[in-house]
Amino acid sequence: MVSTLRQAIGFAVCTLALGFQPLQAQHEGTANGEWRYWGGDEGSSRYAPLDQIDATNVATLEVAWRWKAANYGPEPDFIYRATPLMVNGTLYTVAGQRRAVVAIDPATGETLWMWRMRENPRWEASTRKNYGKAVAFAEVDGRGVIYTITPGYYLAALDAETGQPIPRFGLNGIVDLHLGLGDYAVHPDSGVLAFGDITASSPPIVVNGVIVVGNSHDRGYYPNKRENIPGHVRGYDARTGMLRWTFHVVPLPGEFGNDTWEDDSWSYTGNVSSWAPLSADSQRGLVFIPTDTPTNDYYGGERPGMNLYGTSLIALNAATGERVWHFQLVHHDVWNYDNPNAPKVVDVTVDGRLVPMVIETTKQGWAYVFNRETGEPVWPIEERPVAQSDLPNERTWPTQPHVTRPAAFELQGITDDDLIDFTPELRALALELAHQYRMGPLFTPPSLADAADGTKGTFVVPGANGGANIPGGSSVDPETGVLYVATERGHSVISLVPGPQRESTAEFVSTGPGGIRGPMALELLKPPYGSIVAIDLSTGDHLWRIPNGDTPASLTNHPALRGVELPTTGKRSHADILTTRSLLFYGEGRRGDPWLHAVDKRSGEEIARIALPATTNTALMTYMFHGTQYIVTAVAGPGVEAELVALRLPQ
Amino acid sequence: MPHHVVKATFLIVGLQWLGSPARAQSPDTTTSLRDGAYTEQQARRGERIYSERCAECHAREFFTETFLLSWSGVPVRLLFEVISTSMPEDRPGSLKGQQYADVLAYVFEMNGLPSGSRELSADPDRLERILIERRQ
Repeated sequence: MVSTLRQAIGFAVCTLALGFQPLQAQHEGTANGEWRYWGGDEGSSRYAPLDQIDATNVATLEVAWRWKAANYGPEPDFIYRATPLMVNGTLYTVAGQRRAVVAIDPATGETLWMWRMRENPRWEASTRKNYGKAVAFAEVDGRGVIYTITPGYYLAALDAETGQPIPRFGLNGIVDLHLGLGDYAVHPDSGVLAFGDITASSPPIVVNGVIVVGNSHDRGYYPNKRENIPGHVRGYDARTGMLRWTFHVVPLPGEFGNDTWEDDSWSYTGNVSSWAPLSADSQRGLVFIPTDTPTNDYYGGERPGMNLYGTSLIALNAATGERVWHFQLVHHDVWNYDNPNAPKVVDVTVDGRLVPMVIETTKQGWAYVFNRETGEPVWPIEERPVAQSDLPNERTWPTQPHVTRPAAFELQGITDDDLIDFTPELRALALELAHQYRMGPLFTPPSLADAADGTKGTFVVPGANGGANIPGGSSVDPETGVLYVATERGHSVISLVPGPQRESTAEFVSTGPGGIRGPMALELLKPPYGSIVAIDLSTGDHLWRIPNGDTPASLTNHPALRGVELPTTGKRSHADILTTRSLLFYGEGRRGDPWLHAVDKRSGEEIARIALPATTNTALMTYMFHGTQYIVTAVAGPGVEAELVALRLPQ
Repeated sequence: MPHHVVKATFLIVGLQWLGSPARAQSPDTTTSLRDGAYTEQQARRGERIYSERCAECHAREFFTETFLLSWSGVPVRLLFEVISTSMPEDRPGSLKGQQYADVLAYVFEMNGLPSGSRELSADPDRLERILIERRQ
């Protein structure tokens, strides 16, 4: 108990001697006009120091080409969350339910090659078919190699020129990622896991010749059992596909952190995946792993303890898989505050000292800022007491880390003051709705659907879709040290019911992650509904906040709001953002309107907006090719099949 | 050759829920869900679709606690637009219009709203004329 309490104080640093040398600023966004990683560079800055497109000409952007993803799967998709890479004059991306890998001409949109794995029935059983966010690239023996993780959880290495699997890698270019997971039964005929599930929804990242592979699971809102496969992180040789190391995200007996799983809960609890993209600092040999909640997102009574490394940021030695440091952002997570964004790697001067930072932007509305060499928070993160659960057998952790700086970028917790008050009638109805559930500050624990006090569940604010989240997340500008976060004012209402009521052997499960609508189908909470927030990382101060687009027609045309003066609310949608030398670009995301906005990144002032064929679906990218800057975005929407759209200035 | 962006055309495709201006309702043609706006057979079809495509994320309780209170006073068209453009989350818009209407029939049944002799249609103009109201 003493050791776990000590861990609760805050950061835990493992003093592995890696021989760190003082380094100059190295993370400066993309280089040479390329976009080599999902997040642009290995530090996922989503920043490109390009300026051909600037405030004087951005309004003239036009479509250069459109690339249709609809035929790269058994049926068209109306959602598309992939961001292409641009390396050595070729675009590489994934498309469709089978996560086909394609190479595309960056000037014309012509398909150059396509590869996909024939992997039925592993594919059939995959819980994440449509979530491949990108591929990974590395140069091996002077040749470009594309790495992809398939929906059935195979790792493939393809020749970047031809798309052909590389024979010397794994077995004819393929490594079966089920192997080495642990002692899990597999159906002999199909190869499908007989127990639990695991796959991947993000690309791997290659760091100094090691492919670091994360993973993903099915939704954990109401698992059918308390048991699942843990999302152990693994490193593979980029040349051969040989397994180099495994890092146990649920530590085994004898490993650091095993004692944070009481009652042997380490032996059956799973998840703790790293489903967001990974980031790296290859000069320091570090890879940064953001993790997910342990099995059963909203009930932890069957996993007593702090539950390392659930909902943590972990820095691993990429060569060996050894932990350098970790920080658990949420202890014994029962709010589904899994880490949604690739960590941001940037060097910023604070109080006269250049600090090598890594930043995790989160659903719970905080940006956690660390020194990436040591894991020490740049500004204090304080353990503070939080409300405790009254559920049978649930022992929520008595304290939670609270970020003291930068200030939260999203509403945290809920009170009557946060409910809409557009008219007295709407206000009264909003109160009637909200008061049927428990309200409280951040980290108010979930409760029963039929609690003894008559409530039907508990508000979680921000909720499963709130704060920073899957699509664009955040971007960091290494030239100015400014972090831009796309955030959404979403909430969940978590109501727990006995597992058997939902065909689960878990003791309790939630009825789902959704929130409730306010009266007349309006939002329950006051605006803004979607925002972009600029944060100065040298001081932690917020610089500006802008709404994600205009007030939606759903509000301006709402019969109950006639005559009501509305603020610019923005869309309740995650903006998809990209930063360049002088501009911040954003699309409004899936619940927004189909605009690409160009904003002065210093002030947040809008300079231009360009119409798109459909709304953006995920983070944008940009590159230079033959002297022309392009911006590429994946778009899709109701009735609009998935495609890439490339914009450039008139030729 | 670059395609010039035609803003107006693209914007029509991007209509969001409640994006189209509320249409004038004539009181004599508006009906209530309380009058029976779906058939029992349709609710059974909807139940099957629900268990296959919706139940993964939404327990019945999600729709039966305060759901009607939130949606009370708006036409069914709005609810239809929301679910048919945003759900299921991983494959939005992947059901046929009538299947979304069937799911709604099941949701209305869950909420104790009566069935009737006529199926709930997927036609926006007809859905516009059916009002969601709380149970009495």
